[in-house]
Amino acid sequence: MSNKNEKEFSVKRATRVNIGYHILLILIALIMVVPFIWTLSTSLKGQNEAVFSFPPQFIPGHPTFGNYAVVWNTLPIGRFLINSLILAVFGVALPVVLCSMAAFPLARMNFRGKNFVFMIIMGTMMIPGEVTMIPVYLIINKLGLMGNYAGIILPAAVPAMSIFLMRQGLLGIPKEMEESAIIDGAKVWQIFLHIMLPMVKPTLATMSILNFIGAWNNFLWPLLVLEDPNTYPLTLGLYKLQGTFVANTRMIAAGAIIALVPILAVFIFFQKYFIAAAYSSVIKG
Amino acid sequence: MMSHINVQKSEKRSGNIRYLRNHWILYAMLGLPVIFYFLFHYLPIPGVVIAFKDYNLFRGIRASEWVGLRYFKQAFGFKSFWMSVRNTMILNVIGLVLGFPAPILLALMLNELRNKAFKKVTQTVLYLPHFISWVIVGGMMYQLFASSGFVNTVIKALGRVPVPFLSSSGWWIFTYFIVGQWKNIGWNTIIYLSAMTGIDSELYEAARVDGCSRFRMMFSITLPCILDTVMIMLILAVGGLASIGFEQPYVMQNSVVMDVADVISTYVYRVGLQQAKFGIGSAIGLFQSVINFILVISANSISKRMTDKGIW
Repeated sequence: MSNKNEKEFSVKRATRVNIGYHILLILIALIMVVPFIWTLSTSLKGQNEAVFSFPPQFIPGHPTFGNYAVVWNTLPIGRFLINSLILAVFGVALPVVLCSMAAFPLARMNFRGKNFVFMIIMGTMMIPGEVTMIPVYLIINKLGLMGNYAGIILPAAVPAMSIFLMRQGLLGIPKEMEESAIIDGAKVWQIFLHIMLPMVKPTLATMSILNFIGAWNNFLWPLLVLEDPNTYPLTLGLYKLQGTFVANTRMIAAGAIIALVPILAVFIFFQKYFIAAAYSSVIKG
Repeated sequence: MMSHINVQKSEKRSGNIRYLRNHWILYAMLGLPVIFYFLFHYLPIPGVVIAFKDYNLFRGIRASEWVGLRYFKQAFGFKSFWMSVRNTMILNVIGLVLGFPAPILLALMLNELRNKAFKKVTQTVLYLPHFISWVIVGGMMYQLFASSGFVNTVIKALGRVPVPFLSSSGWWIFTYFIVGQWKNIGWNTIIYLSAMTGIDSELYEAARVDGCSRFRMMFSITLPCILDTVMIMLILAVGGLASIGFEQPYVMQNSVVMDVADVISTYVYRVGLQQAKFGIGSAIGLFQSVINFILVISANSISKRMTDKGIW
């Protein structure tokens, strides 16, 4: 009898603890989203509506897009968006092409110097960015790429992480796949393009997402390389916006939402791959 | 099998020209990326020698004169440099002591969730801030924590005195920590969660048969099983104590709190690049990487002595 009672007691306690976890996690999740919701609601509030009120008003009484219009007219936001998009397209496309090209021989073939090349590439992940910041800046300068998008795109064109991910993906393909192709007389590049690449689509997606985020959020290098405000990407443009509208909460909120929407869209549409990306990017250690 | 792809022993002897002819495509594929690596990852390393040279943009690195340790002496002579070193250490040590256990606890809680839908939604929400640029986070943070911002409105409504989150040194450090945690805590749980999925479920079965409570299992099974991962992350975190990202401090700092907010990365940016003192900037970068190196080596050996686990 007593045994049964004890069991019931511990079950009850377990449920209580479990409810505790849920409440705590819901609270933490709320803390994560409240700043976004507050920013969205602020961006939609007109001049006559209080932004800082208590209790906080999350649903605007008279939602308006007026703030967006002002931000849009004051700053070349459209231009910034296009600039960000250009940087992101190259920031995604170049690694896809170059890293898969580099990863294919490293994963599927044996040749002299293979391990050495792989080590050279992986070794770069160990060097902290602050150390090479100035020398890379000087190299960009020397190549005459100051003020040019190439100065932002090229240093990040072949991320070691992406080569690593692609190599892992390619290593997982069974050998039989290419053996049968070889018997059919396929050339190396045909095997690469038509057999290998289609099989690592999830890895390509993962890699593209990681690089998209990196390129879209890149702030330091545009800050160092670009001079003409018309060439600014959204991150840098918004940074200047925050300087222009220091006291105007509604404008800053509207600017933040404009920059948030694309990354949120990507996050929601590719969520499945995001999680995969997250896992694979930490397993490297 | 795959005879023309795998290097056969006989082929190795039959001369480099034939070897290259058979495998040129491999080298061609590797060539472009390797050139990139040389240019943007390896060339900068010898480039660090400008820390010892009177670098002149027009004469180039090689033609510039050697100046020995002049820039190191100059940097070490600046009070502002030591201030940035101190600030980096303060922010990082607080981040390590308070921030290191946080994602582990969060991961343990997430791991206890049995409702898949709830778990997925929670995880997604937790990861979200990681994907937002620091510039945007900085803008939102400013509106939330400013003296008349959202948080202070709530504090005032509760009848308390507003808190100078961004304009008092102590509170700025607090805000820096909170905002950093807000952005990265969810993302940092991932490595622990993935370590937890690797735990053999038979261990839990056996514990359940023995009448072990869920809480007890967490401490006696889950935690010991992820200890390796925890140690590796700890060593890496200690090794990174002297380096700090550029973007968070840069977007969060303001002129009132520069005495606690100026860190090594922003100092290198301001002095090394904005004022074009490349030599001093490189000297600081080099100094910093030496400190990093010493920290990671000592953390690893201490960990090895205490728990028999290390990265190498």
